[in-house]
Amino acid sequence: MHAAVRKLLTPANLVCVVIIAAVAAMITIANWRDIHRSRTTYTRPSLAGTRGLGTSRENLEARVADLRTRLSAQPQDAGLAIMLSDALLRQARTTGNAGLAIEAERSLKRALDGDVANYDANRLLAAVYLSQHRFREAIAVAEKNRDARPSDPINYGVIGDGHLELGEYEQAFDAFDRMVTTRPSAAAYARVAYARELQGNLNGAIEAMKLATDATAADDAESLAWHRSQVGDLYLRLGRVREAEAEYTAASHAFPGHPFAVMGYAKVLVARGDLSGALTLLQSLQKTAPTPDLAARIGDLYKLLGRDADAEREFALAEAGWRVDAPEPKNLARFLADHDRKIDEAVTIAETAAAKRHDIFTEDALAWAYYKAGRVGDARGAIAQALRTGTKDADILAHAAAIRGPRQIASR
Amino acid sequence: MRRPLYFLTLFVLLIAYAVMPGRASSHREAPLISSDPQADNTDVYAFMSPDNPDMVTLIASYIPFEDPAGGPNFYRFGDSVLYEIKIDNNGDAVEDITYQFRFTSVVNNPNTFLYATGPIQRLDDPNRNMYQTYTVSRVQNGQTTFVAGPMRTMYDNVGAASTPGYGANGSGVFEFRQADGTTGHVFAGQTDDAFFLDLRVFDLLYGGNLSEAGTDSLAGFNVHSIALQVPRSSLRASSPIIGVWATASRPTTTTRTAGSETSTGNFVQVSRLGMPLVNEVVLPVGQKDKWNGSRPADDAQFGSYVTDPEVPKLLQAVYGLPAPATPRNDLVQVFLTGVPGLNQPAGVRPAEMIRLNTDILPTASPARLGVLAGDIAGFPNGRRLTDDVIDITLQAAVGVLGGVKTSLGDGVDRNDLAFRSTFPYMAFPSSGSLPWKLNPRPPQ
Repeated sequence: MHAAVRKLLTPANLVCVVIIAAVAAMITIANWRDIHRSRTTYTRPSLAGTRGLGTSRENLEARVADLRTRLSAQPQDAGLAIMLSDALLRQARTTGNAGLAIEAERSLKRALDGDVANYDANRLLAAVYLSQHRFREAIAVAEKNRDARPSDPINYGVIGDGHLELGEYEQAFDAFDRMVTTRPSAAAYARVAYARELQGNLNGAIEAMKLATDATAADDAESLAWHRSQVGDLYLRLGRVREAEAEYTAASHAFPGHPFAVMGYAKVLVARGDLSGALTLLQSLQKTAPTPDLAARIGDLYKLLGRDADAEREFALAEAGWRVDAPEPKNLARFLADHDRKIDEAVTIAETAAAKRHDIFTEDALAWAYYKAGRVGDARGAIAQALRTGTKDADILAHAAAIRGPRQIASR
Repeated sequence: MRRPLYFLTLFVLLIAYAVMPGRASSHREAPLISSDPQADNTDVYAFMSPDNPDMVTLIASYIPFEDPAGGPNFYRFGDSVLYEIKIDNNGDAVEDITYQFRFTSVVNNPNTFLYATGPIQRLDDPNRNMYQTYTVSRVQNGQTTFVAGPMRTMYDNVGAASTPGYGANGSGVFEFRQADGTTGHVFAGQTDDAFFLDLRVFDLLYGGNLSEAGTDSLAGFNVHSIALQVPRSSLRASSPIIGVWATASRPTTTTRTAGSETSTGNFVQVSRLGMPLVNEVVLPVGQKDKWNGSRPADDAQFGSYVTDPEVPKLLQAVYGLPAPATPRNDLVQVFLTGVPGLNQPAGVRPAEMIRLNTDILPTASPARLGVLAGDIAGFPNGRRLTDDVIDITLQAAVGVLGGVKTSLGDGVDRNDLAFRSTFPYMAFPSSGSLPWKLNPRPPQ
């Protein structure tokens, strides 16, 4: 043996060598196991709302808990990650907890680390981006998915949703039309309904949303409640309070306490003049699914009931909430303008938002902030943009009327 | 004294919002992924009626995995779905006769969500609060003829209190007269799911031990079935062999409807089913949407999935069963053309459908493995309720038709419930009084 080598083989060094070798072996075995695992373990995903996998609150909670456990035992299983993300997205919608969408994104990204081209994972990733209001990213991923599988209608849904939120309506409506002719489904009908609503065709919207309800699986309680609440909202817009109430009741029956159904029922009570009843309902909702929008509505009710201090407290909550709700600046701008708070800031926020997206609700917020700031000329330009789809949204129409101002009749 | 509480609430909410960056609040996020069980055709059966050898029975089942205890949201056919059973009687892969089924939901008392407002003792019992009616039409040579209706669907087996003595109070079977003067029978409503298999067979194909199988995964689940029984003379042309498949279609519509609220125009086919297991075993997952919208006449585009299928390769890789040489002309006969001398029409155009030779009379004691066991009245000559299509298909995949000896199977040889001896033959649905099968925990 070479002298230098022999010199190294002191007992102390030997211990080190053995430890290093052992660690190396462990790493190798662990890696090999991982490689082996990633090659062999792939649970074929079945998504919530499909094939008997119900979406009641309890279903979703149990499913999320179960999948989290299984995924932590097999972190490389892309199928499990896909199923977990799907269930988390559903849960995010009913709890308002967007932390769940972040968890979904994280598990999908981990799945994609091992398999960048995994179609199912990319398909859900686009939906996750959408739920986080990362519309351009959502469109980009969905367009790639569409090129990979043109017969999958979901990609057109994501592309349409993204363009819609950005105010690119023609592209959005094209995508929805493509979606519904590729494969009519509840998801496609609901989007057609919203597109019609944006264009002021409320009866057509009800018709399409009812097709969505009819196409919803009986055991997909969450979707059922969602679609029926939407039909209720549309009826309410047409002043058909009794029909609206029936829809909200059905929604609540399918998914007790669904936020959209509770919110809708509160609107029915307001329409009937039962302000304190509505207040009680919304307060109960605030305990389970608090949102800035909800606080603002509660504040409005307090105001109407003459409880100004309580109203102010809720308004402060709403404002504080919206300040950290960065993706939806238009809501804060609208709120500030509505309640005559910090009008200059409302203008700045709305202008910043409108520089990035041109949906009619952002344009409306901008118009309303301009109007409250006394900039009627600027308000006219913005409200024209908000009216460009032909919407019959009551708030937008009211703002438009205020901005236009009373006109004197030329001659009698 | 409310101020401290106010600040505390504000603080808690601020924390809550702060830890949820990117929270969604305004835009409405309509559900993106939704299944469509009402249009999800689980199985199609086509056979000569055992109690009436002159009659052909055609059955299409929908809504997989109906949990009998599934209230309060009970299952029903889709009101906006066009259900069709199609028959090609000259082998050109184009339907010559189509039976169409349309459903309408009715609610007696809209102030309650109850399915039954008291015990339901007959089809038109006033206690039957929610029900459906349906009509049947027949399309031939571009002409649509009204056949029967409106009739009520058979009610669901809700449970001992709501539907006592289920099956003894009305069958849900109606008799009708066709334009050619012949008489037929029709049934629509809840039934037991007649398919029997161990669903794990699909997972085990991807690695595992097939001998672990042996539990009927569909035991205790119900479906909704449409069943039709008509004389063979009313379906045949010059050949005794008919091809059968079922479709479900939904109306398409558009976002831009200036001045008009009418949306229900053309129908788009969302489901297609003939032979069993085509979606699960023959086609890759990515082809499923395309397949469901396709017509048999265009099946050449899917041909390679039959001539060079995935399953035998998996069976070889996982279980060491040698995959027969390709192209698999034996499988082409099973899935696309029919077997010569048995159920292949002259001049057949290859297309996926169930092919039934209506000259072959039903046997008194059907063999589970059908043609593989020498019983030519069974699968793949038509499909009877008792045919063990999983075992037959697995054995066909490894080449049994080419002479390979195998007893491959999923270990489930018969349905959990006995079939009835008269039309519609399927077993009664399991009762809603039984415990939940799926909820609250989803299957693993």
